[in-house]
Amino acid sequence: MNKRNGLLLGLGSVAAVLAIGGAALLTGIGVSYQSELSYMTDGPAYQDVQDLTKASGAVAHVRIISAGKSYLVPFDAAVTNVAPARKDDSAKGKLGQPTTGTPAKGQLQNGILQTDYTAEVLDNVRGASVKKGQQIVISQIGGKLASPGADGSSKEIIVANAEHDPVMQVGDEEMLFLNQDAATGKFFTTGGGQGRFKVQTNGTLSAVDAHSNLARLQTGKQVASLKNAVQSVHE
Amino acid sequence: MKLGNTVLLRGRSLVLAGLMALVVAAAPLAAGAYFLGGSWWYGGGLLPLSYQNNTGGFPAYTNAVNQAATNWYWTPTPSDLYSVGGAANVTLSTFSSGAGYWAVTQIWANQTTCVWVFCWTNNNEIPYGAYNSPTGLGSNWSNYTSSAIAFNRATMDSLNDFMKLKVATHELGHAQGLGHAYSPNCTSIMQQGFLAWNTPQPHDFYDFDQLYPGSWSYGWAC
Repeated sequence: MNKRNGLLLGLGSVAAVLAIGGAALLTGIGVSYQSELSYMTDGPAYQDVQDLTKASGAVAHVRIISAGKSYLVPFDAAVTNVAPARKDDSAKGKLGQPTTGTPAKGQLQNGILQTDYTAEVLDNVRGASVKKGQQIVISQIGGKLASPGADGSSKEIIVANAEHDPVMQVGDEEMLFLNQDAATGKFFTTGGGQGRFKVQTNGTLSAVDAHSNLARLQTGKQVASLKNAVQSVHE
Repeated sequence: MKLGNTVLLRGRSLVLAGLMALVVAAAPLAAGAYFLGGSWWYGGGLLPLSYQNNTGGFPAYTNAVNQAATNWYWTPTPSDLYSVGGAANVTLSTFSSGAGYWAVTQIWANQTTCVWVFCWTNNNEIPYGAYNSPTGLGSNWSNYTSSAIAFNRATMDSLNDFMKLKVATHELGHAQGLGHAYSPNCTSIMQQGFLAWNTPQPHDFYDFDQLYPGSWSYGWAC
């Protein structure tokens, strides 16, 4: 093959790739659209280890061993209440034009995404509901949801993380402050990310909620120090 | 000697002036303002946002939502959340989860993505940014298109009416573009957790004014 033929073959290949890619983008066939979103939250704020421990039924050092399929926790059936129109004769009451809205994405408008993780208990630090060696299920708000796109051929992937409480990663070791849902037996971390501390390979802690008071107190400390602090809390 | 004193006085004045300039220059850096990134379209005047209150099955939540919208209205900000029965800018619902959160807010905007010359627009939820500037979301995003708030009955049912109102007012702050106030000494409805107040505070007016400017308020950064 001479240089000219090689050049033509190269240009032809590039053109073919662009044509297929362009066609895929235009038709949506085989294309995945990924959106990353966050749940903004409000909930109790814990001041220190004692506060967090007292609010938790169990504290355990765990390793995340698997992640289940994410699912939607549906909203309650809508019963719409319309408040009476506000009466305001002040200057503010005489201003403004309505802001128009566009309906949001279908599925996530109807519920909150949640994922169940299986974790192995490496050390039961406190509480009778978990035992060393046991496998427990931890539910967390957030996860990954894949669904067909509006055109039926593309794929829409939504990755949701609760603010300050990113989804757990398989293989990670964490110190978790937990509460158990009596109805399902599943565990939840206390205060979302506030009740999670990643255990680094050198045994130091990294608070998952970097903005919490607990993060300022615990990040960089040894895991053994946190375990001792938890065990010294008296009811 | 006289010359020396004059030089000394001039030197002191220069140092003083320098210090004052430093304080003035550093003030905006020390100030904290908290935004999610992005905002609703705002053309001045009021910021009228309709809300659909779907919590009617649970009167304590219904009342908290309506009162929270009223709380925001009676602030020196353009906030004007008004109740409607049909499609709205903000929808409010309840759900139940063992997760420790009291409530969750989501916000959507249109996002345009381009690969080479191929561009498309999706109605996506905005990624959380916790920006210090109202314009942090980026140029490929539109203004907000809608928002959804969900109250977690599993954790909120046990809260008293004062705290239910705090949570509803906090979440409506998110729905209008405000982020969390992290500083523990900042008196703001956008602080997480139990608070001694359940209405928007002067710092919230300040942040609101940064997001929807109009010299409405004279709150302060913190």
